[in-house]
Amino acid sequence: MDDIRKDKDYTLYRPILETDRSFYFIISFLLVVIAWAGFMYFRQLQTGLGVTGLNRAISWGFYIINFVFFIGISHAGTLISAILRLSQAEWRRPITRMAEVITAIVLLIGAVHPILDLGRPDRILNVFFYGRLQSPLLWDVTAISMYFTASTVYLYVPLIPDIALLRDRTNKFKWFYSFCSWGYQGTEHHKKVLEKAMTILMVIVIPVAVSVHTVISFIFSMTIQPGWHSTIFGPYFVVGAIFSGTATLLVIMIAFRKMYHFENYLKEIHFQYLSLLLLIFSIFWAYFTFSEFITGIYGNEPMEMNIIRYKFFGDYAPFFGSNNIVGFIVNHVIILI
Amino acid sequence: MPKWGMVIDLNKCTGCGSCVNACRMENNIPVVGAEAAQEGRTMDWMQIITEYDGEYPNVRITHIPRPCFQCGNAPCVIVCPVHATFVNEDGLVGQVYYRCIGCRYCMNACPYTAKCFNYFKPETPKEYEVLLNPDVTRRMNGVVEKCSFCHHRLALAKDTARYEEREVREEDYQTACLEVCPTKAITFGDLDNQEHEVHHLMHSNRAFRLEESLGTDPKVYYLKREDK
Repeated sequence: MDDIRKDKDYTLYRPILETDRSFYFIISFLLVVIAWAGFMYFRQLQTGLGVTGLNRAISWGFYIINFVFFIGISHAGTLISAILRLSQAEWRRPITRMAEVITAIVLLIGAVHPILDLGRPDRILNVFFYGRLQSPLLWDVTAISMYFTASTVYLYVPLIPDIALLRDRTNKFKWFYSFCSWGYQGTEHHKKVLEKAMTILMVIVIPVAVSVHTVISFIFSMTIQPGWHSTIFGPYFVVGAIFSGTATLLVIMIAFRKMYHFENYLKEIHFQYLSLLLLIFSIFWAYFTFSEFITGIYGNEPMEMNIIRYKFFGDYAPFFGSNNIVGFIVNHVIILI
Repeated sequence: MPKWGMVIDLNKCTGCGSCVNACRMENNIPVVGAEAAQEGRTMDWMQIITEYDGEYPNVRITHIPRPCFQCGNAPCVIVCPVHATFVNEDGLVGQVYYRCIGCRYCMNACPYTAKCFNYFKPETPKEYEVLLNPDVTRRMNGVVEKCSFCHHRLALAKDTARYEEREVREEDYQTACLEVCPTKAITFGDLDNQEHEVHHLMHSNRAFRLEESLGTDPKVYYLKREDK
């Protein structure tokens, strides 16, 4: 076996082969955070959901917002990588893996939130025993579990050649890598089969990804609450999801570039293309926001107007305003400069 | 099958709150305390909405007692993921406390905010424990509950009727809020029974329903407030 340290891609192997002190430091810090959150959840279970500050009129809050947010971010990955793979954009190669990992992990984080939000998490299995498929919440369960399965498989299948590479070139955890690589040898036949599997998955994953976020928006838009009951919610959520997802991808890319010294792999061109994508989706998003409010304002329905007035001038107006300004105006100004 | 419904005369309602209290006693509604009430976590199944009309010396106050409307086309039933909220055999919207997973989707779907959620473990002060109604289940932490039109009374009326080998009479089934109303603002009965007063009242020209345009088909009618 040739010395892996002399390989020109050694920077890519390094994080897998070596763990330095900062890794353990970060992990222990995160474990402390998780333990603290676990304690908080335990407290919520003991005393009831009242600790979340929700009340009778506002019965969904923090958890459901987080749920929508995280599921939104998880769109970055699979959708971006699948679309780029489908359009055979060669520059995507270094970022697809990162995007797919974001999808799988963040999706899991997001999917936990509605369970945290339940008043009786011990009865969660009722959803399967007595589920009503007419309820949008059950569409959600179906869509998310499907998306999770699809995206993890979609993450794993392109990973096989790389695991095989690790199996052949490193000594640690050899049994694990050889199990996970399913005897991949990199022959013509293997490559062809893998390519085919990836194409099939790609075609499956895109509609599933779009459907997941549409279904999440359906949870809200299927009720007759003013401000929620609107046809634009499906595409609005999808666009918002890709918008925030691309942004997350960029943040993660910057972090990886700095921490693991991937300057040779994540080049300026990736950031340029992705920012362009981000800009396009910000325009889309602003357009949807605009059309959502302009129809509400011109329709002048009293209930709808109450919501809009509250959004623009109410307690949370600073957040709403800064979201719009930073999300649409500031980034365009930056581009113009 | 009778279509149980209610007519509330807003002219007669003084907003005294007897119905709210009677409902609390009848249905073992937990006492949340002042602090939780301030935070908007009251558990009242019957609530009095107060509407103010006009500027100071000429204010007109309307009290609107609001039970669950037992909608014919209930938005909460459509969204429940586990059949915990359903239309029962009497046409009323029921709630199964032992199946509810506490997702609170029905609370969000209800346009009348008629549903309430047990944000904490429901508690009854010790002195009140002797007053608990044995006919009504006490709820547990983390489930949604709502007015049931005193469904246990209907069950009792049915049992009695079966025992006496006759049909259920409307006098057998009266809700707790109606029994205590000092001004007799609430009328309750079979909306389809053409001889009953409730049928005439629901067709009076003062009758209206809250948010009728939503198409929820509530079974609670109000008689509009008119100044004499």
